[in-house]
Amino acid sequence: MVALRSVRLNDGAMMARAMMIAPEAIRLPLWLRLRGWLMAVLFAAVFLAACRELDVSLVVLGDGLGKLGKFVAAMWPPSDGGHALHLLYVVVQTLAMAVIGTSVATVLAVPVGMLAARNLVANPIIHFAIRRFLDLFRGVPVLVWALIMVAAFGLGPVPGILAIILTDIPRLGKLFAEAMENVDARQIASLRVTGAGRLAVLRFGTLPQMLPVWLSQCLYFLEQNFRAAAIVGVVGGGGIGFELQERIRIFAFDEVAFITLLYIVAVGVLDVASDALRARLT
Amino acid sequence: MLEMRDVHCRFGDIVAVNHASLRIAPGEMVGIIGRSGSGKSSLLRLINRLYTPQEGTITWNGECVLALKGRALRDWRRRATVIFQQFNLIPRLDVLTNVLLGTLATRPLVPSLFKYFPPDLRARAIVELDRLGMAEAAFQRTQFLSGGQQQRVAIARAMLQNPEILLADEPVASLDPINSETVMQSIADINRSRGITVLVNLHSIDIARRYCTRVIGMRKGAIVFDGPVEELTDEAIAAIYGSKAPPYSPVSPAPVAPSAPALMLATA
Amino acid sequence: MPGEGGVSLAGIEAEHRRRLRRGRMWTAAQFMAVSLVLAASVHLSGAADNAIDGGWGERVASFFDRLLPQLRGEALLADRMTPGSLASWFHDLPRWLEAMRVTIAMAFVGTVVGGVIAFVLAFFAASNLNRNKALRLLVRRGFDAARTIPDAILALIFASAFSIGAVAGVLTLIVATTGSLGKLFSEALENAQMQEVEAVRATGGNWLQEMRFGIVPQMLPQLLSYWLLRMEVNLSLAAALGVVGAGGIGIELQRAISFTEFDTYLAILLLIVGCISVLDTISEHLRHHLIGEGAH
Repeated sequence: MVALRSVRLNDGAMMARAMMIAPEAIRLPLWLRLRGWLMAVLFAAVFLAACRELDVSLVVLGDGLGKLGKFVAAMWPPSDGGHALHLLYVVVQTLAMAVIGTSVATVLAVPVGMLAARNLVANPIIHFAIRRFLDLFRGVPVLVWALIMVAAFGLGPVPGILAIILTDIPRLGKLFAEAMENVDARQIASLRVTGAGRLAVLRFGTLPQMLPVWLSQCLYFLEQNFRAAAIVGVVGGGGIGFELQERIRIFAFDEVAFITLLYIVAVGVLDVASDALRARLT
Repeated sequence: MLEMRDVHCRFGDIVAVNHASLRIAPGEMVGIIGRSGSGKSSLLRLINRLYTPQEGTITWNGECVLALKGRALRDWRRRATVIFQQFNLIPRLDVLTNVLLGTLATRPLVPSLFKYFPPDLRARAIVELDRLGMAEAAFQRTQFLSGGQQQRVAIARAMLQNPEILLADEPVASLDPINSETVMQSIADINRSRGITVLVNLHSIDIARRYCTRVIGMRKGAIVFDGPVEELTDEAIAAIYGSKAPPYSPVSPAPVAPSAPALMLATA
Repeated sequence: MPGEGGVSLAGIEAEHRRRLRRGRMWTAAQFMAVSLVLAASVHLSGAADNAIDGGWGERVASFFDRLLPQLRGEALLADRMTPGSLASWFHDLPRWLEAMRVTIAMAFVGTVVGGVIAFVLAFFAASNLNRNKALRLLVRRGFDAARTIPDAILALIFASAFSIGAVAGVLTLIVATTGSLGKLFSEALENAQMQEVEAVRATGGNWLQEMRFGIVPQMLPQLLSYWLLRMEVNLSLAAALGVVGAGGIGIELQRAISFTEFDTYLAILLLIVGCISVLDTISEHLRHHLIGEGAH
């Protein structure tokens, strides 16, 4: 190695010089150094406390993993249990549920969105109240609605569809409200100037701007609702979820695998179709 | 001493460096000029092993650079320090940490991942920053610094690498004339006072003439000129740049007054 | 001049009417197509059979009757035993709060563990950081599989294996989170500035140091933002998964339904909604704070 002809202070003089220039860089104040570690320790403490709430024990994990292994082994080869046609029908039924749910929800969410839109409702109190209401119920998962819908209206696809609609309206409502608030005010103004009445302004000013958003959300929610429709069956709301939970209950995991694969394929098909439709419409 | 023999580097169909050979003695300050895309950047990156040539050899003091692997390779990268046109600092990290990154190759892995650097290295970093007038900004994030300031931080980082050869890839191309002067003078000073070999890519022949004793001209990946700066005639320039005249840097101001903050001290 | 080049007023009007007619036919066709799909759906879903046996109005009325609590103004603030008070409506509040704690813990642990796994795996799914195409594809398909399988189904399977309880729920959340965050993280990483990584490499750093100094500082705020958003989603999920036995407040919901106490169900639902709302607000503030956070 070539001897470095660098002009250097010896270490002692270097340190003294550095301390003169910027002592806080050499010796970080204690609290600064501790801060990082303190946060890490705090986080770890919270995490461990949470784990304790959950009763996670290695024994349970070990046992369970063993059983899980057996389940996974039983999944291959997947089998339709002789009900291939019926299962196919159920997948279509699930899709149908999603279609109805999406259609009704997207229609009902429009007036809801209008009421929640700042520029469409003069009274700020109503707008605020509705927005808060929507925000509150946006977080309710579809399974929670499905549970009570099935209890109130019996087993079958209708409660499932109702649950889907109830989940979608707050979310779609908020999206539509925001879209309406972001409407180009100039187009509206230019229509008003020509003397158009409120309905006409709606039809020719707001609606054309809303349509692409509306359609795009329709397709997106259709995909989401297909997944939701598959889930609601688990508590009795019809569709593929019902079939799945039946098989899981009797540990028929080869059939579970088959149905899951069917579902994944259906999701893929829906995805492709949705993309094609989207390309067509925009 | 750096020796490159018949180095050829290709990316797919594009030839970046075309059978280049050169020899650089220790302590030289060599300027490399040529049009954009002539292979200047690739040449430097080949030396630092950021790129790997398909053919040829590169040796430093007899040691084959291309055969290096693992720890030895990283140590070589440290010693063949690069300064980039875009400074290549980490924007969200502060100046001090950026400078200390120059020591990564010499530090054990785990403490470095926790941003721990021992006090003596921190002291060295502060002193180097101070020499370049950047010590006050030690705790500022580099994204808030100007171009000239960032390049000075980059030079401080380079110094912490204890370079044996400094590879500067268009260090002043993104800077205004005054900052360009400051940075070039820092580099020249490093070469003079610390005896570090310097290879600097330049887009301005003017700067090459003023700071370098030797010039290498590249065109389409090949070295078409290699000689003392006095021999850089108009014909030679035309051969390097082709028929198009090169962009001259704007007329530089008179030598910077002694009060300029970025002059490096010749002695500590 | 009219008549020359075929451009005449009558011609234009005819063309306009033709276009209008075509437009109207196209709209009508679309309308018919949609109606057809809807009708088929109603038939296929069996919704028609479900709805046909009558008494719907009665059913809905009865539902609302049992759903809404019988609160009485004068007894509102009375104690638990007094009918008509808020306390009697939320009669099991202590136990529900405990269950909410479990649910929150589930969401927290699930998001943390899932987030860490997703973070590590994302580096192998990013094309700019991992040259090995096979490994990349494997990890990406893994993420997709974890995301596609409906969480409720996973929860059921885990509940079968690990018995009813929070463990099944946490595992479900870990899988779902890994899939979702894994994809988000890897997509974010692919948009990273490689300049900074090159700087660390040129200085002599190894791959870990390249990632730690070249990638992490620039990506951390965005990744943390995704992570916090996922935490909010997981909180909702944790509440839902309890319904299929995966622990937490969902089990209380199941319980209320098993006693057909719809008003109790509503009380628990409001509790869930309130808690989620509060935690979401905290999370949002944290996210805004993080976007301008200090260096890492």
